[in-house]
Amino acid sequence: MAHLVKGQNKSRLTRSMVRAAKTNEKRLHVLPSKGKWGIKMEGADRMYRVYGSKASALKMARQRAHSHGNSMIIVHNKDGRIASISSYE
Amino acid sequence: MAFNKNVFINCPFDNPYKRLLHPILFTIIYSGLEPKISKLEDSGSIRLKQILKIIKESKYSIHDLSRMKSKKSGELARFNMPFELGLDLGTREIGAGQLKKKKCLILDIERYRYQAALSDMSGNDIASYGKRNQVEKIIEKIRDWFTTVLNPIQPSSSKLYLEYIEFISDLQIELTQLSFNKDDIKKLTNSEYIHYAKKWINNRKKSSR
Repeated sequence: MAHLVKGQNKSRLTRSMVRAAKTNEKRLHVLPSKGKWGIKMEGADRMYRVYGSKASALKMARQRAHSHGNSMIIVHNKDGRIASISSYE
Repeated sequence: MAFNKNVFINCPFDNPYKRLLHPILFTIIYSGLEPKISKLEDSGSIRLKQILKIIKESKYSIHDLSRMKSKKSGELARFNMPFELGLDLGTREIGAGQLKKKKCLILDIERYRYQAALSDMSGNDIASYGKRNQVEKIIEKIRDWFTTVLNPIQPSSSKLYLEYIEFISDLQIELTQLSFNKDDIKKLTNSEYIHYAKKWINNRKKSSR
């Protein structure tokens, strides 16, 4: 099977992933957890808040982003992958 | 030495299963172990030899039997996974020396479903990850198994899940910056995924010390 990322992009992505492993505390994640939806601050070991619905979690994440200067909200789907990203810069 | 670190992964390798394969690989690497996967492109006889080689080189194995039931009428079930489970268990039973120390985790969606199709396996404990919250559950089942066969001190399953979420976000964001679209993450080969997961995890652990 052919690799997706080739040539210069491969070393560039490797460097980016090394850099990305350091947490970016300005990011908020909205993600599914145990049948509910939670808000997690990047780098935190646990959920900041948990809500019954994705809409409630997203609403609170937006409020927090505005009040605390978070630059990005990353919303995940049920598989953990990114569904959408909102930037606040 | 590698024998004690290797984990043979026996599961589907199609795109729909990558949503579970990726957290499986992440959990194994995060626990300091080395995932071992057969290369699908090899022809039949070479593939079988390769699988047997990996089985003999791996102390640990994870088998997901969830595809042994076909989804649609007329569709054949997948027998590769039960077949490779049999090879793995047979190697432990018949093998000598370190092969006797092999440990395996068997996964399915339902805990006792396998008994109808694989009655010889009755009495063996199977970890079920259910039909909901599968990513969290599969991480939890593997992490809990590592506490019994590897080291009782492991990161909590919720920490592993949250770390996985951050990793998959970083990978998707960085791929997007290289002009790949958000679905291209599914097109990464397993060896690519493992490479980037190792880089990220090693540096995450260094930066959090």
